[in-house]
Amino acid sequence: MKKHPNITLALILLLALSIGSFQGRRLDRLFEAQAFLQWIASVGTNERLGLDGSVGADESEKYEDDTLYSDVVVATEATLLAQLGDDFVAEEGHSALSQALENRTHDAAIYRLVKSAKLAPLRGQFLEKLRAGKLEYTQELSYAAIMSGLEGKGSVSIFNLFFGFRKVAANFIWLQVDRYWHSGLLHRMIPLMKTCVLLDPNFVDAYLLGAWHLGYNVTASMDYTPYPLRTWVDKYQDCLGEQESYYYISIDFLKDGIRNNPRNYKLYFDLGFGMYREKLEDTENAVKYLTYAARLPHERWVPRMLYKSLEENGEYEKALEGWHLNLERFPEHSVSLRSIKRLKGLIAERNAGEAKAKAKATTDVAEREALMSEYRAFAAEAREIWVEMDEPYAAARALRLDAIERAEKGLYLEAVSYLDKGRFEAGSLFVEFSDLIIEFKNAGGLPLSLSEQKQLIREEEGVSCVGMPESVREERVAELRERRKPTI
Amino acid sequence: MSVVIETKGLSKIYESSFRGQDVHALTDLDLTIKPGEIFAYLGPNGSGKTTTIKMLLGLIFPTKGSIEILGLKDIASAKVRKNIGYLPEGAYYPDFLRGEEILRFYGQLYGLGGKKLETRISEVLEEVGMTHARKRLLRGYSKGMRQRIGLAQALISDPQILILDEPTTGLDPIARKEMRDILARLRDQGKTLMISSHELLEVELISDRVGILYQGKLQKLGTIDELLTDRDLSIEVESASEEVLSTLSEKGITAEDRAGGKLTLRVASTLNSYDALTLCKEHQLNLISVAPRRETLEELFVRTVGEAQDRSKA
Amino acid sequence: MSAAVDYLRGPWHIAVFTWREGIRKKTLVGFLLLSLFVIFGSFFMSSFLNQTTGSGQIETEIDTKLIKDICVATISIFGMLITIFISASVVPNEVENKVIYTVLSKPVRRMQYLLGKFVGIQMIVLANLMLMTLLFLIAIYIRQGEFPKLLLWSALLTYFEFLVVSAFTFAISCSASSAVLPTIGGLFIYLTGNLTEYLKDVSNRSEGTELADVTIGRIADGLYYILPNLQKFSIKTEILGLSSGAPLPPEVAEQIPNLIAYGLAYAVSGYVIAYWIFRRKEL
Repeated sequence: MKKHPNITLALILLLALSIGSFQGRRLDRLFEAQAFLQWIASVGTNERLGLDGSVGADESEKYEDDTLYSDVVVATEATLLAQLGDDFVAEEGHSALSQALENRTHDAAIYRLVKSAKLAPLRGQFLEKLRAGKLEYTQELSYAAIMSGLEGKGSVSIFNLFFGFRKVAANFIWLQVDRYWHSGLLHRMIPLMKTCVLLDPNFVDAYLLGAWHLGYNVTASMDYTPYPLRTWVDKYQDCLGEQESYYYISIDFLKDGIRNNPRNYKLYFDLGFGMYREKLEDTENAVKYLTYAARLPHERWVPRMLYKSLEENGEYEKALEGWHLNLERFPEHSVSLRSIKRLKGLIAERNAGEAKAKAKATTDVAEREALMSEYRAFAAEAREIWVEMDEPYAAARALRLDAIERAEKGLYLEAVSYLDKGRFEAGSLFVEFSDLIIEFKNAGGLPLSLSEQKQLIREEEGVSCVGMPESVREERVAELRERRKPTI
Repeated sequence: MSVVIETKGLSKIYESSFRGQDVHALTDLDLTIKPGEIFAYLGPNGSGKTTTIKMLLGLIFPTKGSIEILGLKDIASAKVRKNIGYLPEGAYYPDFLRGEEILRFYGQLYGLGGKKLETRISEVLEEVGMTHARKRLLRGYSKGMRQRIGLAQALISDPQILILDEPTTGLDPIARKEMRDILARLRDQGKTLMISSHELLEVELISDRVGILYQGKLQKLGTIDELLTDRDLSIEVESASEEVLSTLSEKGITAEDRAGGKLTLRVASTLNSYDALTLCKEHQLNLISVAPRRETLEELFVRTVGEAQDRSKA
Repeated sequence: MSAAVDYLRGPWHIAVFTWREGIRKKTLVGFLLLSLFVIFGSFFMSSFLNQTTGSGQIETEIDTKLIKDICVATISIFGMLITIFISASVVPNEVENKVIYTVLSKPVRRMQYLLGKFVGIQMIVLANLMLMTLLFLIAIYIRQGEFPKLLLWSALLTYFEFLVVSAFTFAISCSASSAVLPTIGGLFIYLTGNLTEYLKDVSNRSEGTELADVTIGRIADGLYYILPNLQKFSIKTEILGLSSGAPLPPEVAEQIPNLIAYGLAYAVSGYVIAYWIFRRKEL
């Protein structure tokens, strides 16, 4: 130092700069690993939830996410299972990777794996494909550190233009979205909403509110589109009218949100409850997404909505189990208590119906007698529960049992009047009871009312729309027949 | 030790980025300062005084030549630094601090601390006559008080050598007098003082030895007595006509000053006093007083600078 | 050991002195007030959102996000300005008012002096950052009723970003005689530090065979590897998006210490450059 100060200083400076440069490269590798992990999480979520891509089939051919992801799954499966130990069980048909990604518990193990030398070639492929724009599920703008120098792209990402304050920009865009909403410029909101989440893919509230605007507010002023005027859309496997097309835009928006934030229950909840249950009346999908929502850290109403949807989807036992759990956590919770009773009643009713159907099918007299007494016992049990519950819904269910009893005796007109009383007693049963009324009226040769005739016509119409493939149409016709089959 | 500061061939050239524009701030300075003396370092602005002092303190680095302080070549060493107190010209002292806080900070830089430092602060404040203001914020200090606090910080480590750059500039007459007294007291304590100044009257009053610097070169060096050897006569008369004055000046008597109906004549040392008086009588001048006169430092200074200017012109 | 303590005693007193002087600077207080104004002003921004929406419950979360993002940006920008102004002015100011003469004529080596000044600057910058973060925490607490702990990580990373800019600005300030040039230089460092990615772009684009192309590409590449990239610190804004209750995700937990090491390495480089300039500087 004393003898050659300049040389010493130069050496120290060189050393410090080298460490800095080295650290910089190291950070680049870490950011790359993070980007890889984020992408795996997005595609893994896709796999786990069976989501569709957000682009149409013809466009999805341009992307290579799936092939790369399956390579990653193959490369990681054995190691990951070994690392996670025996307690870890992947769900049927799911890769260990996508399953492990669901919650935080296995994050460390996955990250280790993603960083490991074993996955280096795949990581390289990922970066190459990312830079070539061949990956669909990437939060491109977040990857500033590794996005530079993309061939044929805008090169330096938008990220840099905001000096790392992308999120602030996203907020200001959101303020503008809000402003458009209040001035009724709905068509201007949509591109801005998309820009907003492009800038900040973790802006969960933008997804939620955006989807809410699309699914609820935008569609509120639109008219119902009759089925013959709707158009078949392959991607959604559904006939879309004006409103429905917005429902699906909303659903896609939420699914994008889920891919980018797979661990936020709100997105699953809004998708399952807000869109599938409330708007599309698709209880199966509602159950699916509410199940995922309930697995993540959530608010207390999430599982309750799940149990409700399970009930609506006919999964009484699961719903019952759920309400019992809820009661354990919140003793004396009145809704739980009521729901448990209701489900017990419904199960008894279903058992009764099954026993009766079997009795009808059998030829053995003794067996039929046994089944019929079983049926009566279940019916009595159900009736007991309904009477005990003493509320409009239960009263209506009891009326249904009465109606069936009358119908069995051939007293169809009486049966219909019981059901008619019942469906006004409990509005939630209107559709179910109306179907039964039509069935009884047909069985008894009674004339259908004008509205009932209309309903049947609508149902007939509902099996087809513009551009619907023949195979789908046939399926739907079969479904409708199944629904109209006599139950009593 | 016979010498506290010694420079040999000390030169400083400020290189310019333009060829031939280099500034020779100091050229071949050979200087020795002895213990216990007050050395006055004189020179007009830009003559190289501050450059020399900065080199002595290691604030700038010599282009050529050597410096030895207290016999040591490493002038940045703690041993040297502990024995030098420095009062820069026109320095600012943070005005959010109190008098004693400033001194505490500087004392801490010497590695002082605790009780020892506190006693020393009191001593130094006493020495510069600032005890009354020790708890006051510097914001409320007058210029003289600030200068005294500056002197106090230079004294805090009780150094052997004090280097003071323009210590009395900008002070009122009373403050100057007080400063002068402090400096004299310090000399009496056995400290070595190097004072750079152009307040010549001040310096003349207290200094033992003088160096006159001009254009980076030491023009004169010696004790006051050695340098101011010129002695002559000054004659005060009531008045004299221009004609008479021109005749007298041919003989060696020059008019020097005209004030309040008096005229002061200066008699060149070549002329005998008696002859001069005779000449006055011949021209019928009314004498008011006759007094012997020694050349002032100012005159020496002006003369030296004038000579140097002539030399450089030639 | 005691030699090291002795060596550091002087720098420590200088640091404390710098700190006491620095916190009284008017520009600093001004910036601080301005940033507080923005932090609490973000409340109004969100209430403006509330007013027009009317549906309270869902919006409160967006409010908080808005406040968080704006506050982190504010802390970042104003903190950076304060850092640059302080780092640029401490040494030149002392040269200008000649206090440096009185200090360097004491038994203080230039290395010690610079160390003291640099540490003093860091104390001011840190105090500022902590004050702003604290106020931000309070602002969020008023809004949300809980302290966002992740913000502390964010603040930590923000500091190391400041440290890099501070060190290089300090180096410039050591070569300058007034604070103007180093201030401009500091702003320049901040801007270019954020645009380092463009160098990579330049080197990628200059793939021609011509000598000029190749040379420019090489130079850009070299600079890209040497210069600090402040964008790397932008995970400070990403951290806030994470859920606050859970521990840090492993990838972020690994990035933080590496970023700190990165910042330190460049801070040391900046300081070495500063000393190199200052070592034989004519004062």
